[in-house]
Amino acid sequence: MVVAHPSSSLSRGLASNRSKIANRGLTGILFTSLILHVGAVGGVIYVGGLRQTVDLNLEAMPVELVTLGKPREPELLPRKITPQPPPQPPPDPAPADVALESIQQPEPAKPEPEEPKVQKPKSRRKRVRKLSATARKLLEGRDEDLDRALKKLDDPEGSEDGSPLGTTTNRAAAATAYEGQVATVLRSRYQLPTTIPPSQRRFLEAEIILYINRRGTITRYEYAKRHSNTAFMSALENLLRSVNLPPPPKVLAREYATSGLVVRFKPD
Amino acid sequence: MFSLPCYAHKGLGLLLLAVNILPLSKTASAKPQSRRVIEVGSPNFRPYPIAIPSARVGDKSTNAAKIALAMTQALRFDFDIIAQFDVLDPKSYITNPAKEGMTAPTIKFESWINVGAEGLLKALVRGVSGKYQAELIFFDVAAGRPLVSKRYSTTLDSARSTAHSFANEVVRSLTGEPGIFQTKIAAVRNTPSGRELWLLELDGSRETPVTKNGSLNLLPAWTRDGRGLIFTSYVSSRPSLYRIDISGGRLSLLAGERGLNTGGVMSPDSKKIAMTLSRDGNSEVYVMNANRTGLRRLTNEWAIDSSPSWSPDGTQLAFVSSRFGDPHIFTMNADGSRPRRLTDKGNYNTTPDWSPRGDVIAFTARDERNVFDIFTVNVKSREIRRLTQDQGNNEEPSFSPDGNHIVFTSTREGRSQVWVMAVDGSNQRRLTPKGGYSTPAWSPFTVQ
Repeated sequence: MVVAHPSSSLSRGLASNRSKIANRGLTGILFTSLILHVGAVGGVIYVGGLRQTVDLNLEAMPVELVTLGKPREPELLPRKITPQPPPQPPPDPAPADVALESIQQPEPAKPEPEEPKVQKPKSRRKRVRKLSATARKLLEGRDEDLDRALKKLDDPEGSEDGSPLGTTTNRAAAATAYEGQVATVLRSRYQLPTTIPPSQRRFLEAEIILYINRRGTITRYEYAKRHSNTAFMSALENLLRSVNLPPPPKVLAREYATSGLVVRFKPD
Repeated sequence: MFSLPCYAHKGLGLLLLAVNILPLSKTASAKPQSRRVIEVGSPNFRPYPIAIPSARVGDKSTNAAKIALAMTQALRFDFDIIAQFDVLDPKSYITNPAKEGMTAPTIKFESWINVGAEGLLKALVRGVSGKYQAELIFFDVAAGRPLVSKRYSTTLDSARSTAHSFANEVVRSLTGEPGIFQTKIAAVRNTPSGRELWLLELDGSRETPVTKNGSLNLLPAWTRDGRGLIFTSYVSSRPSLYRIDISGGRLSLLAGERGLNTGGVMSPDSKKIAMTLSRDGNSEVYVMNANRTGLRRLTNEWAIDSSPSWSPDGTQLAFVSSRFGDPHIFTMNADGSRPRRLTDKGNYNTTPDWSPRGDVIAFTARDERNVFDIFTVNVKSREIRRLTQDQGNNEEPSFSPDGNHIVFTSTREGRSQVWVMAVDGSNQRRLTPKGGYSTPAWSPFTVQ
């Protein structure tokens, strides 16, 4: 039988008391902490619930603003609505903002990098799949040739400092996207003077060939089809002198600089 | 295992190289393709920006300087008052016009382009053998060439008229239509002895009395040749219809029937005069030949029918009728057939004036706040548009001969004054320096 030493019993009792006190304090701290956390989480949920969440996928919904009160009686004369300020043309597109999804940045007289940028190597098996069956069969066992062919596939295209959001070498896609941007820019600044009588407006039409350099500047323009109305033609000239177009995609830069882009200005 | 001889390796390498390079070389050497075409339409319309620097003086005479100042003021007023133009603030000029010449090579068109000008109107006044000569040139800034160039002999008295004449030429060159700057406004002006007819220059620079009989002279309307006015006068103690030549002041009676003889207006072909008579006890619309023959009643209602206004082709008349209770705007054929109610809003619509373009009729209406304002109603769609609002009482519209502007009276500054605005209600400008005017009537293009 083992008899406990009184001193050790005392020390155990003291330790036990100390432990109880510590436990009680810890429990209090834990309890307080728990309450605070619950409160904090609850607060976050509550505040979060108050906020409106924005669903970016929601489509715009046309709404009609109404004011409280009785609707205007139909037999009353109309009231004028406060006129809105005339639409301001948007600022010219900055060249840096243009190269987004489909347009390459213009490359200012800079030598092409001899070696492509270091890229994360794809697995060889995946890359081999890109080759045609015949090429795979021919190149089977010849690592050197196979690697050369695969390297061609992996060569990055476009400018070294081009847009990471996307570039294209597809001429048709690039042209469609670019010409859409040009049309948008021109349309936003297409203003004609009210001195042109309404009876003449529907007959106004002119075709102008724009020669656009790599920076989007109209270097020169030619009239493919003129109109006799001088106010109309002057307004077009002013437009072309003042507008800055987005830089053309690289694959089409030469074409727009040499062959030009025909813009047909119409009344509507 | 499948293997190829050494030469085959080289051949394959060349083949691969060719396969990879060929498309590149094809791209590089491609001929320019047929030009791409994009279409840009739906333009915004905005006033034509025009710069009118101060007229230069070619000699040091005081009169030349005064003429130059008068011409500059008149030109700026003209292009400011019509809504199709936007006169640029001279403070915005970045070039000193005085240092430029009158010929295209001496003008820095880039500077004018940079301030947004599309048109540049320059004038030079100089004395030539005791007379003054004004040279005015209107430049197309973008093209850098003159569009209109004229030389006039002028005086201090005719300087403004000279400027108006050239402004008309500029408008014609840009719009293909005659300008309105040499037209006049006839209006009734309160005088201590009664109400007299006055003529106002469009720029407000001159007011000339037409009648001086000390009686009540009301409701002037222009003859189509711009030589005379048809109006109602109490000069013979009862309201009768008269015609007066604006140059000589010769008065001739047109209608002196029993009761009211008022609201006379000449048809576009000058052959007929429509008017309001109450000779049968009730106000009705009548028409007669300009030589005072063939008087014929066009309306026959228990209610009041009045205030006829001819359509520009002379086939119809607009008028006011209260046949359905409140006065409203109606139209009918020139022979009185097929009356048609145009307005069904409001309860007091009066003073119709048919636009020379034929599409709308301007009229005065009292709204639910008991305020009079100017409206137009589309003749086909019957759509009503409000032109004035919340600026005193605005009444008695009269179209400019080009149909682009409306003259009217307004009490927005206290007494009734003559104002002008664009046909859409924009660009409202006061013409008269003093008050006390009513029933303005805009002249034809030519006033003789």
